[in-house]
Amino acid sequence: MDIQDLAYKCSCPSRQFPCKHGLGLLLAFAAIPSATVVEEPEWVSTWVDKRRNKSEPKPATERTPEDVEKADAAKEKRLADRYTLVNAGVSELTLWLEDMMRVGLLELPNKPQSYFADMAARMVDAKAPGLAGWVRALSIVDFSQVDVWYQDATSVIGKLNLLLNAWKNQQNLPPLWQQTLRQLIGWSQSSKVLETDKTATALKDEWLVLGQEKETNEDIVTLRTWLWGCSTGKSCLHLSFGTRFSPLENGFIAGTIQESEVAFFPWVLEQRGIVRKTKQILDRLQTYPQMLAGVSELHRQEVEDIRQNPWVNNEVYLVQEVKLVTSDGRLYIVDVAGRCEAILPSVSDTMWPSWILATGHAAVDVAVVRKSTGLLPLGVFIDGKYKVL
Amino acid sequence: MTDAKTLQEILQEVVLLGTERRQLDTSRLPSSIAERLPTAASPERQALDALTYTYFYQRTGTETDTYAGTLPTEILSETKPYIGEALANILASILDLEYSLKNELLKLWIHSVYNRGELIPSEKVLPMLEVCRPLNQHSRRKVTEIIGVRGQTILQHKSYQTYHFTALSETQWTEGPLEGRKLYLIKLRTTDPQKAIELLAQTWPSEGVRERISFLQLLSSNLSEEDLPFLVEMYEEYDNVPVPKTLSRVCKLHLVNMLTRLGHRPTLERIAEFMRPYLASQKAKGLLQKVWSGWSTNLLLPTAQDDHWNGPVVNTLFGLEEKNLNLKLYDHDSHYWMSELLAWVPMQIWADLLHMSPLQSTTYLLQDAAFQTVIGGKKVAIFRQVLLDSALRNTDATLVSDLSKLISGEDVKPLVPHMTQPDFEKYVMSHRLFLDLDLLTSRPISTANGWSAHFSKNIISELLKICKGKSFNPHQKFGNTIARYFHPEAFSHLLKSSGNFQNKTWFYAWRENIVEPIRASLLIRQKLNAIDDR
Repeated sequence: MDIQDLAYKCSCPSRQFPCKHGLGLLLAFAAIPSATVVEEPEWVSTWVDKRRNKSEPKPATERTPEDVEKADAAKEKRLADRYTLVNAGVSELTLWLEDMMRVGLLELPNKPQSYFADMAARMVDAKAPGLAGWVRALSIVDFSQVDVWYQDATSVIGKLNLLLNAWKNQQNLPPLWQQTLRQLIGWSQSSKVLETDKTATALKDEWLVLGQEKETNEDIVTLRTWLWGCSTGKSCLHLSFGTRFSPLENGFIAGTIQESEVAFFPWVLEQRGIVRKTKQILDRLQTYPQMLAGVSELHRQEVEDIRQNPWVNNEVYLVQEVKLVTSDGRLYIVDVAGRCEAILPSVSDTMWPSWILATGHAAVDVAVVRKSTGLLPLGVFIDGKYKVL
Repeated sequence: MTDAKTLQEILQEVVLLGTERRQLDTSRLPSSIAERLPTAASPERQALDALTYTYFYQRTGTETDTYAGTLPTEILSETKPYIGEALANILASILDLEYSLKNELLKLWIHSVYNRGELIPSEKVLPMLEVCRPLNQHSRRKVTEIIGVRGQTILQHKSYQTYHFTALSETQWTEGPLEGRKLYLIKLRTTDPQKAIELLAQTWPSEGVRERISFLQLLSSNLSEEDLPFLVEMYEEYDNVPVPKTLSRVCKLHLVNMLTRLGHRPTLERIAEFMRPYLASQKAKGLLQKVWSGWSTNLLLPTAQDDHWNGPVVNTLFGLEEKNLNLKLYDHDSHYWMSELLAWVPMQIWADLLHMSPLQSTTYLLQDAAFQTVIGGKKVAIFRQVLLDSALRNTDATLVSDLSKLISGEDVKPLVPHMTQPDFEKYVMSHRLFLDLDLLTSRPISTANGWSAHFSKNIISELLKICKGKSFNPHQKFGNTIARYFHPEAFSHLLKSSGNFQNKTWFYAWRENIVEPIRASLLIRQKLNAIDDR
């Protein structure tokens, strides 16, 4: 157990991390912080030393102007190569979509999964994993729902086509837009860079952890956490990823309020961000968040967001005084004026009981996430307190 | 201006069927879309762009819908208090336990909350409903009471069908199916017994015989003195009347059974009168002499039908079958009729007629040579099974106790749930049934059924012997079973005895599978008792 820079190593075959022995030692350490090991076994000393050596920054080797020039040239070449690959991928995907239009979408439900999987793989090969994600989104449309699948499919195809068109025109766009498009295509964003990036937008606020959603796609687990800055009225989407080889890290508890600094990735209509540092966890809301006055206001805000960034997705909104109702087997939130918005069908079964238990049919303020097929309620505000659904 | 719906229709045909089969008529599109489409492009490109514009046109150019229904106006609020922190903590400990032990302790917890008239907090309702799904109906009904009005509202959702119980109201009695009527009667028997009898008396003449039997079985399970007038009145229909049909006979026998249990004099006199010619007083000899000295009354049953004991008479008097239905076991018709009477008439009546104590009567009926037969080369007591039936039917604690001493083997197992604690412990120890989990768990958990410290220690000692002899792996199921009934005072003995394992793996298995569940269960039971006592 390395207490200084928390790490664990154990000879047991447990696949849990940390194992029960590690947890036991940590608990013992928490109970008696003064406890120390009189004599460290040799393998422990070796392991700790190795960790220390690794964590110590290596002395920077002095780079000559030629080295810098060489590195820059190599970087530019890599970038140019990637652009070439991505452009080829964009052309191929455009052709694929046009072909789809030629034969008609009625053929889509009959297509085998390989039809989508092959194209997604080609986009990954073209270094455009973002585009691969759009293709996969098309493959998971529920074609068994006769009345719904056409809407879902055209929503994906429409946004994807706009993205491909925008990419072809990207050189004429402002730098922020170019960056946004690159991210949509699949350029990765580095949290480590953002951690120290002084130019990035950073906001200090009481951040309410509104809720979380876990999604598994092949071997990758994505955990989305929505935060709301109570004073700034700004939302933040935090993403964590887990694979078979790296466990999912979850540093949030839904419903808690933390006084933190949140930094945002550059993006038209900033959305994704990271928590830089947390000062303290608060036991209650100090500032009650500003709400949108009903469903119509929510819609207007959504339209405004789409106008700014047509690919906006998973955006969270706070709406004032709504009730949950059932109509024709679907759930809706309805505001006092009678305006309604549909709830995501996939959560209907679990949402209704949770909502009734929390609200008892009272009109409440709610936090919802806009998904392509409906709203995902995250929690409700009752008597000034936030309750996760 | 083209509305979103019309626009959708214009495009849908082209997009669904493909540009190979349908051409996009751009003149029908709104000008704001049509002028943006590339004119020199291929039909596919045009359709794709039209689809894109239309998607955003619909997404941003339409208003939200208006809800046409009525909004719920009544706010569901709770009137009962919520459980305190102590009960919430106990629940958390219970939920950490292994499945079977968890369910048993959960029942106790639910019972405790129900009795206190408290509610579980709304955020705990959904996990509670999930975890209580496997519990019996009795416990699940209690769960529906402790989840409050909001919890009860969500039970109408299809995913909570496990908690959909028939509403118990008077309408259920007059219009509902038999099962619903039975449930209503059970409820009334505990809340308003007089009304239960009144309702039953009102509908009795129009009830079918199956329904009558069902209701009589319910009355029989919690019989009281107040039921006697009703039973006497109902018996009049069957009194001194031949009953040829099987179900009617069963109905009559139920009535005879309950009348005798309630000491209805005319029925008792009729039985005495019926038996008198075949009861003979004589000096005890043979087996009877060994059991007690002095005079006794013997049962000298006729070997052939006579004027007094014959098919039509037994049928008319008590509703017995006219013919011997078990020729293999009963050599004579009289033995068959006697067995039926023994099964339906409580043992105390026979003890009075035979002028013996209940134990002496049971011993006599089980062991006397006159009541033995040989089947497959083995001697069999012909009244063995009917005496077991009688003990269960009449919930006769004395007979259960006597039979558990007189009968050995598998036959006694049905009596185990009804045995007194000392009898049960004696039975397990004498037959060395420590590993029979079904037997040990057949008794419901209650204070009265808790094991004595002595028995708990014995079980542990015996188990340890078997484990150390390496013939038995200390399985978790066993620990969970012991944990339900274990006496707190025996815990120190358990700890002391657990240290001497040679095999390290078995030591850990013993500690994890036996000691830990017992410790956790004792702690939870102790805390629950403390709360219940407050």
